Amino acid sequence: MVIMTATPDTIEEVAGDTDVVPDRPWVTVVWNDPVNLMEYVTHVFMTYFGYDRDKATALMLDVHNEGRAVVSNGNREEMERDVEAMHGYGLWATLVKDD
Amino acid sequence: MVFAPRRGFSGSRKGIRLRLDGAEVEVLDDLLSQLSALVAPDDGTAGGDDTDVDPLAALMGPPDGDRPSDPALLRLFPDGYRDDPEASGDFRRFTQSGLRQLRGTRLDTARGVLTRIDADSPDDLGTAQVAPDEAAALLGVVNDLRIVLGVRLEIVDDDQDVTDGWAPDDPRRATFGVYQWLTWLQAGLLEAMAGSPAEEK
Repeated sequence: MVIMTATPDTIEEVAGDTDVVPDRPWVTVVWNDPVNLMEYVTHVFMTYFGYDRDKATALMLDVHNEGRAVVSNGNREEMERDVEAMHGYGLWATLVKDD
Repeated sequence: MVFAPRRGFSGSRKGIRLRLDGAEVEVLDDLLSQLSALVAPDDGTAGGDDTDVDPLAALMGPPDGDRPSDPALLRLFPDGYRDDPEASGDFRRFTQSGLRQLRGTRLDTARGVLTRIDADSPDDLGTAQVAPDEAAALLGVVNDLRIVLGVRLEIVDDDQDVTDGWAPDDPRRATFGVYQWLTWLQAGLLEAMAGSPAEEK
């Protein structure tokens, strides 16, 4: 199961009064690792995703404390792009269908 | 009062600078070469006896997308999917060469900065101004180095006492010293980047 609490903004969008299921069923998960500095992980979330410091820090703490966090969602192609970018930064990330 | 110039990375209104002595430059340069050899594209020329290659197989690549057996390489180029080797193989086939290229470009940029540090002897301190794109490349390179050394040192847990049980003359102590130095260097770089004008958006 993938914890979705990390991206409240996008979830609220999904909950609008429409029957159409948006094409955002995939998520990028970043996993905790014992090497990457907390400040570095925060920096990556700010730099790549454009999150503000508060959101980036909250996600980083989720990764650190829970062992993982969902950092983005979208279609499969978008999530493969995000995971590739995370790997480029040296973060341990995977994508998974959120169902 | 004696002014002691700050070592490592520092940031100011004028940008980021890197200050190292000649010995530190030499250590870092050696680490960059090792990382370069590790992440260099595996173009298949190393084997030399692949005269019998199936052209289609060569085009498509191996089914697992050439999953590295070296745990350090696997950490730099991890699986894209947690429990799906086939999808991970596809993902690797599409992403690995680009990621190797990215790391190679970052290494070239880092080397360029190091060559500008004007330290004439191991004890002599030299300084280089670091442009924002160079800072980003150095951040990635230092992180890659820490990841590789972390795997070699078998650092697996956040709260691990890494040197626990090591003899005083254990050769890993030197490696761990380098790892800790890189950690200090990276923390300084992150601090310098956070305080530099380029970061204020």
